[in-house]
Amino acid sequence: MASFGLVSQVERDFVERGVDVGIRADGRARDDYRPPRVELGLVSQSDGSARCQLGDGTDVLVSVRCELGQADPAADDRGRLAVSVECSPSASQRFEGRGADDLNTELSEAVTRALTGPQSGLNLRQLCIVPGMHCWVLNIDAIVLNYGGNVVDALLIATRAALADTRVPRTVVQEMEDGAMDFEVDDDVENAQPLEHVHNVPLCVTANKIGAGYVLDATLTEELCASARLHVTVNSSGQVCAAQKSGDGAIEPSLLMAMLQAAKEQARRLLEQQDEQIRRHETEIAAKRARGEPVKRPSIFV
Amino acid sequence: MTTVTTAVGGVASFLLFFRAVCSLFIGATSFAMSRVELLNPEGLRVDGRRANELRKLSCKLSPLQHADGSAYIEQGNTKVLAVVYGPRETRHRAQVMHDRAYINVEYLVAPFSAGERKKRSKNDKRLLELALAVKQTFDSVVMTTLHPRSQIDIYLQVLQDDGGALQASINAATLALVDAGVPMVDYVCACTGGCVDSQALLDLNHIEESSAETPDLTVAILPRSGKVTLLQMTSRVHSDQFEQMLNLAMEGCRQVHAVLDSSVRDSMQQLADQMTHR
Repeated sequence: MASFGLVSQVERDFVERGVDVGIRADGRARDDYRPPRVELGLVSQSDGSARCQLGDGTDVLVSVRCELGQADPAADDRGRLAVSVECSPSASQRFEGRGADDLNTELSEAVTRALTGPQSGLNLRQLCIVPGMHCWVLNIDAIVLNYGGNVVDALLIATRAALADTRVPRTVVQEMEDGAMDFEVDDDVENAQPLEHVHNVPLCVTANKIGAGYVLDATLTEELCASARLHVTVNSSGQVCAAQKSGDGAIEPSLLMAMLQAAKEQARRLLEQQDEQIRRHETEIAAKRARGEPVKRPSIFV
Repeated sequence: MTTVTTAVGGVASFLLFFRAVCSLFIGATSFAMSRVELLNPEGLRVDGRRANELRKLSCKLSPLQHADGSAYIEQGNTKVLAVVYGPRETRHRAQVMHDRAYINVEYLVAPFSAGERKKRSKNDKRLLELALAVKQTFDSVVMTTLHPRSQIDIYLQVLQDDGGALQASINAATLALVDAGVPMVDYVCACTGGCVDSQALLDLNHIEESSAETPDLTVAILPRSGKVTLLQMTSRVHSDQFEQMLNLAMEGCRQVHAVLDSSVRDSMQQLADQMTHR
């Protein structure tokens, strides 16, 4: 992400001195996070979707689609996740043509790392249909529509919300006379099941080292001034699930611990807010269904 | 051997039909298509429209602040975001034209935009062809001679495709160019038309578009002069019906123009209000 645009020496100096005394260009303190605006269920043809905006800048749209696939021989009683992140040239002209390829790979891997493995908390066994043969593959496709810094955090916020919005079609497995397994996919959306343990899915909070201090939820300019960054992935029990340092600078151990602590604290708040929002969204939809009203999908921009 | 069968009994088939009617579940339409009649005896289409009715069209200018111009358009369930950068210096020397500006169009489709998930590479022939169609449409409309040796970039991002992605893209690109303040001769307004049982249809949705028996015509016109700048048709149709289809589609273009124009005027009014109040 380091090659994203240029920043002048004067601007860098301005940002660094601001961080030293705890002032940022947009009026936030070092630990302040732009309140994420999350909307669920925007994409009608997906099984789950969400969009996350941070401030006026960052804007990501995530869709989750269930697809039938072959079970992985190494883990034959589980389903799979496939993540793909695309930066649209609407976010920046640098993403034109093949310009976004490296960043796409980097972001896809960052989301994949948070969602696969024991730390993800998702019950992948739920996605198994016929052990060793068929399973559901959750295709998580994200589009970065606008790039205003801190995209990894926004991607995970949107992905977690989209997973909470996801309903997996019900399958009925029957054993045939010759011992083979046959299954039917129930097309009724009413019977589709939510994913289990979505509340265990972690969120990521990124701390950027600028000068001798650090900031959370950096804007694009701040990211350009950062010498190093630390991605901390935290789940709702407060456990650190993953930590990754990137950037070419080095971080002192004392600052590292402070960054980790601040990120952990922020992640707890974000998780609480999001769980509350998801609960509200679900009760709202259930109430509308009970009254027989149509559930309208929010529009993307209009 | 295992076989995958789809539940089609009772509730499920009704739901499949219902989904097809809402034209949301586009993946199953090849199966549903043969049963859904595109125009019922009462003269209503699968989504409840009349033959000469457009889908709900709503648009927004400058949804993205950092770009020189941007616009978002929703035509029924088809949603497109257009972003314009420029006119600015050309990035590649080979593209420099000494008497006019070079227009570069990139057409991108979200992997989740259609019924079946499909990841398209940026070199997909179909996408390149669509980008070329948009480029050729705007080459004659943008006053490129006013900006020699420069480049105008138009990026089109299809977020949802429920039929008529090309027409929505052209309409969105027009708005984004207006938003960017790029001088143009006129708006470019696009619309699709089709034909079922010798009855012309306006603004096809995905089910109608993918049906084998419906011809699918996309027209773009300059509303002031009425000139046609883009015309694409697939499938076959009797020449008598072609004229009927074309007239209806051009009438649709004029309706689209009214919506686009009012949204441009609204957005400029807002801008003017902001400037006078502050």
